[in-house]
Amino acid sequence: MNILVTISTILLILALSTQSILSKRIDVEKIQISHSGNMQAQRKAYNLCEKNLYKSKKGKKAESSKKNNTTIDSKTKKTIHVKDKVEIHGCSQLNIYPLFLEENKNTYELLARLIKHVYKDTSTFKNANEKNLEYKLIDQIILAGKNLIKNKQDVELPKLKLQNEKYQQLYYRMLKGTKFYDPNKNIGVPSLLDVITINSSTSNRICIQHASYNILSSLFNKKIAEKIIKNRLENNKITKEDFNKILEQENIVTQRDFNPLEFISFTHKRDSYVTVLGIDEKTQITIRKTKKI
Amino acid sequence: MKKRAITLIELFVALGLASIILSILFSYFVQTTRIDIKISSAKKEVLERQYLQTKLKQVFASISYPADSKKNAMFLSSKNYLYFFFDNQIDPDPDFSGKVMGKLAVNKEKKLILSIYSKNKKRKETILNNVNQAKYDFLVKDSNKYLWKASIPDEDLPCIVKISLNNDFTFAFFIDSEQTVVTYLASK
Repeated sequence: MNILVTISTILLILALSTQSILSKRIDVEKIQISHSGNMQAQRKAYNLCEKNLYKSKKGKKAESSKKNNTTIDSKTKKTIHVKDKVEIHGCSQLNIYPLFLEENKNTYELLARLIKHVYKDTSTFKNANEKNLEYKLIDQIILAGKNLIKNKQDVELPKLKLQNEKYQQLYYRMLKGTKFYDPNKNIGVPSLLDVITINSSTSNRICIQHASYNILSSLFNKKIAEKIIKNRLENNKITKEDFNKILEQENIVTQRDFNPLEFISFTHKRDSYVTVLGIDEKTQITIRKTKKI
Repeated sequence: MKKRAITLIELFVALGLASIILSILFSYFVQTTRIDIKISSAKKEVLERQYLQTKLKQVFASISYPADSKKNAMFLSSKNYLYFFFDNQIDPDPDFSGKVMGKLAVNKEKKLILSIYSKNKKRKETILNNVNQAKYDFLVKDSNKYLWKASIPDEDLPCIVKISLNNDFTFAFFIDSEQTVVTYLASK
């Protein structure tokens, strides 16, 4: 009987010490993996920035070669490119600055549609369980933006301080997005910084040549968004004729209080900044980097 | 049949053998424990340095000019504190989000501290322990040559910031400045 107690005590001591050693090792391994993922994501972001910088310095000769590459890519990887999200052009984001200056029903409505389209299925939105939540949130955003302008401070999306703590938490989660976002596999949601911007020096027109899938879906619908992006990939850019043809095919009807065509711009102004997302697929760590080009 | 008892010699031999085996095992365990302590302290040091590298790489990669562009985006104070403005991106506290001012300094407790300032608020974070001194060097373009300098040019940002700690190890961080190390030329 005594031997049995001794053996079980020894086994217990051994099990406890093994468990502590193992948990220590697992912790260290996790930190190492997270560090290497972070470095990998940063390296990718840095490379993408440099790639864009190099592209922006290239002449017309390079532009034509890019056109050919894109066509080949679009044939082989059509579905992958439709919702691509590694590069975010400033011209493809909705500029909400006009909302802070005066009442702008069109921008207000588009922003509400965009928020609803992107975040309606997230747990934070579902848990809030409030009717017209997107409109209430926008009202708070506008108020916070106006306060910053009044106090002559920088108006930046992350700096907006909403008065209601509940909405502030919701807004913070929207700004962060999900850790991993893959629109092609319908995993996660993007950061709010990917879809909207605050810029006092530009209008709220969206360049159709670079408009993201989310923006186009909110402006029109998912079917039109996919058609526009496919056309853009096949021909390198979408023409006004092609665009009108798609709208005619889909029979789009403009509403009285919301006209999506008012946001569309066919001429692309050269970006001064480019935002890229460095993603490490293994650890799913995403690093956002904005570079002046 | 009568059972034979264990003799004293046999008992001594058994005890001797057991003590030899136990002493070998004990010395082995002591050695293993010592090595384990050394490895875990080295691992801790490596992890701390990895954290420093990850954190400061993020910070220096997002150096930006302050709203009042008359100020320099990065400057050294007389006490050898490195001040810089950077984009802290998204923080749960909106006051610490976006463009903020940061300070890198070694405090009295020999800790390398990253402080973030916003309005009347301040936030401190220990980046590395056991730091006696920090020396900053800046890679600057000077008439088509790249030189390491101990001070920062007034108007522009350096290409690389080098931080030497305890004269023992060095970290280098790239900065998005007008003076780029790689120059891309437009094709004709």
